[in-house]
Amino acid sequence: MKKMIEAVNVSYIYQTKYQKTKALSEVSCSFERGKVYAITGKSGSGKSTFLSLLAGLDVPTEGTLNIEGEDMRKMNRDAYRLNRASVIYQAFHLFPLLTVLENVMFPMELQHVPKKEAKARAQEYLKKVDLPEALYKKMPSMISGGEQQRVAIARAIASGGEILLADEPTGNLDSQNEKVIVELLCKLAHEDNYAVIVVTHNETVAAAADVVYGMLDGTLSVVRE
Amino acid sequence: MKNSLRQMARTPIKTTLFFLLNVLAALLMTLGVCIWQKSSSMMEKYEDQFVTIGTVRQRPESFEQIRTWDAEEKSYSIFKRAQYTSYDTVEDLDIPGVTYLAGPEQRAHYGSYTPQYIKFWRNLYPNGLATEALVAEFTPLEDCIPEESVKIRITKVLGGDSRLEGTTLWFCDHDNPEPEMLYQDKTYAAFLSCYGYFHGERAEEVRKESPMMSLEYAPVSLSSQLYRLDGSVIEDPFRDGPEIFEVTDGFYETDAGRRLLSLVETRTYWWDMQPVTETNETCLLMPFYNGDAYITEGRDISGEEYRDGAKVCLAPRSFMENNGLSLGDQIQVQLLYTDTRWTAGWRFDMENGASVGSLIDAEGNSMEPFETSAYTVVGIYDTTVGDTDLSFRSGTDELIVPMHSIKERSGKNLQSCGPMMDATTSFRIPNGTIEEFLAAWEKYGTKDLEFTFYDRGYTQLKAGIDNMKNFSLVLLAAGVILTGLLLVFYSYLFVTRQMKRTAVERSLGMTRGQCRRSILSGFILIVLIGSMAGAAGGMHFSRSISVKNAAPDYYDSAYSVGKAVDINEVVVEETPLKNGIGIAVCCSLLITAAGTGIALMRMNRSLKREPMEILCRE
Repeated sequence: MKKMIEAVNVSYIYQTKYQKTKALSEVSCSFERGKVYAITGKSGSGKSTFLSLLAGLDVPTEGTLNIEGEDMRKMNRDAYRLNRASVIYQAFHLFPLLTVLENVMFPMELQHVPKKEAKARAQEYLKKVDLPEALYKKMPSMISGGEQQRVAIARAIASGGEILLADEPTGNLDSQNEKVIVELLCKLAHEDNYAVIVVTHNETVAAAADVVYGMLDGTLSVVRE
Repeated sequence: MKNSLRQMARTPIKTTLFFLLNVLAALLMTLGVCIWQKSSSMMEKYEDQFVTIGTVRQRPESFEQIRTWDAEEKSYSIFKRAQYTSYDTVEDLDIPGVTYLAGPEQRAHYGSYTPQYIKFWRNLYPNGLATEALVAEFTPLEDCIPEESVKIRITKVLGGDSRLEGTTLWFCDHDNPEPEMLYQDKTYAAFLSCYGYFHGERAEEVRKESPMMSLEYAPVSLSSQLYRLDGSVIEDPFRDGPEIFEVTDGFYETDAGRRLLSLVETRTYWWDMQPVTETNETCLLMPFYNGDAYITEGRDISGEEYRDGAKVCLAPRSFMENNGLSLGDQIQVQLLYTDTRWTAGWRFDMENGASVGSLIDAEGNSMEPFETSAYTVVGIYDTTVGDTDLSFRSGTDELIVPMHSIKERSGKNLQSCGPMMDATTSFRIPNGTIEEFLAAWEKYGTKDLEFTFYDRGYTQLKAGIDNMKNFSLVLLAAGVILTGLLLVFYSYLFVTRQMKRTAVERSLGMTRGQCRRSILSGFILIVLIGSMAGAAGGMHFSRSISVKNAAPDYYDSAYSVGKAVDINEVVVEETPLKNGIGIAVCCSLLITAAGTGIALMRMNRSLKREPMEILCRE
């Protein structure tokens, strides 16, 4: 299968005025569509930094990160984030002052999708994540954590990209909601052909993944393939 | 922007409070600026109508006691006379740090002897002096010592009312403690002046018999009254000498006789004397400054004419009318004496006539004019009754001429000489600089001069307007501080505290520019609308705030060319707000620009942070 994302000797150095910290060291790996990838590791091991690079929020200090063969450095990374990659966070990070429906419509508004169509598609995505219709007009603060994370997933897929990046998506959820979210992510990968990359140190999430990478002090290794 | 506003609208209390505080801040700022502008315009408008002058008086160093014998009281009357070691000059007023707009000047007035013109008093009494003074020969009705009123017969009137010839008058050598015997078979000559009423043992009886005929005459000194500029008296052999002379053959060939004849000649000069006052600016003359004298026809003497010493003058209407003169005509001036001590107003009193003095020189000869010229009348002035102090009044028939137009200013025929006094010495300084002047004088000046300042209420008006300005500054400062705090605090709430939102937006693919617009557009719009509303309100309120209420409505007027009506009052009217809309727009744009700048700074700081760093922290 064609590689969706390929990291080749990717290194990343945080540079401050007084010191340099190597967060990633020659990381090489690849990600394909239709699979769930889990990146595990302790806090400070470089997982989130790697995810940030995969999300196109920054570029590697050394090495290359190719998206379907195209070097990330040469890409319009704003467009990449807008159209191809979406991130799901542990703390959901929904817009607190927008309703559930408006949150999901937000990426489509950025893509200038007509409001009516955006609304229909947003409702469709919310259905896909099994969110009851009664909650569509609620503010995020009025629904549960699991429901919020489902809204976050709906917002992520609303952008229409094929890469879903998740940073500890079940970190704030109970076991029941954790299971629902994991199943949802797996479904998106296996049925809707998304490349799902999950940064986690949750065993259950890692267990559900097709491929598991381990991150230790900025270096990546395959744990299970 | 829609998204930004939608999110702001969902925190209505915070957003409304921000809007209202913005309105208030802009209102305070605009109000402050508008009141400042109104106050400044008012000051600017009325500045030219106020004139600040200072008058100078040299303090006497001591007082000398003068004793004069009073025959009626049979005792000495004691008077005090100010003593000065030396006179200060206007050069002493030239001190560092003081700017004079005119002067300082110590003015002299001159007597112009021009019998060709009809003078005020001559017009009233065409025949001249009646019975007040005469130069005459007389004999006592009996041998007597004139230590009290004695009867004399006027045998010959040399000068004065000839109707008195052959009549009997009461006579007393009033000021002489040891008068000499007069003999009925001798003829005497003297300059006689009406002194008072009969006194002596029969006083009551005499007054009852004939009140009008009870006037008493006394002899007057034949001495000249001439001074040098330093105040010293020019010596005269007749000073403190005899005042009554026996007429013998050849008497009129003697010094005393010739003096008497000179006095006969010059005693009528006063009736044909016109006072001429020199100055460097009309407003330095107190009658004009006070509005008791005011130009009603023609114009004032210009600054250039004053500087160049042009032969132009201001003349009183009564004089012009009595002589059939009109604007543009020339008046001949023949300066006979100089007086640096008394003003024309004092010497040529409008109510009581001229205060006469001797017009002979130390040799006993009649004074001769020392400067003759013709002055063109450029302005005609009218007068009111004037100040209670004669020195501050206009003199009868007084001409005003540029100081530099008089060539002979070295004290020729100096009739009276004195130190700098309020009525003769003044200067003009810029309005509002009295304190500065006094501070400079305190530092560099001498201690023996006193100043009196006249500013027609300028200081009072300025203090009122300064209060308004201070008030406006307080409003402005409050507005600026409130704006600053408001923008800093609310930009923190609406921008810095939205860092996560920015990070999410970035991670969802928004460019930095879109993020800026998303966060800032609503903030800036609220600042703009709020500040515009506040500025409009501030402008509106400022129109209803009266600057003139900060000070009284009426002030003494400045010296000006104008009519007598309202001459002493400046009606301070409310100054309309100029460029109110401009000020309001500027204030609101300034606040908006400041808000934009602060918010943008915060936004850029937020955008510098990596979204993942922010979003993955929790």
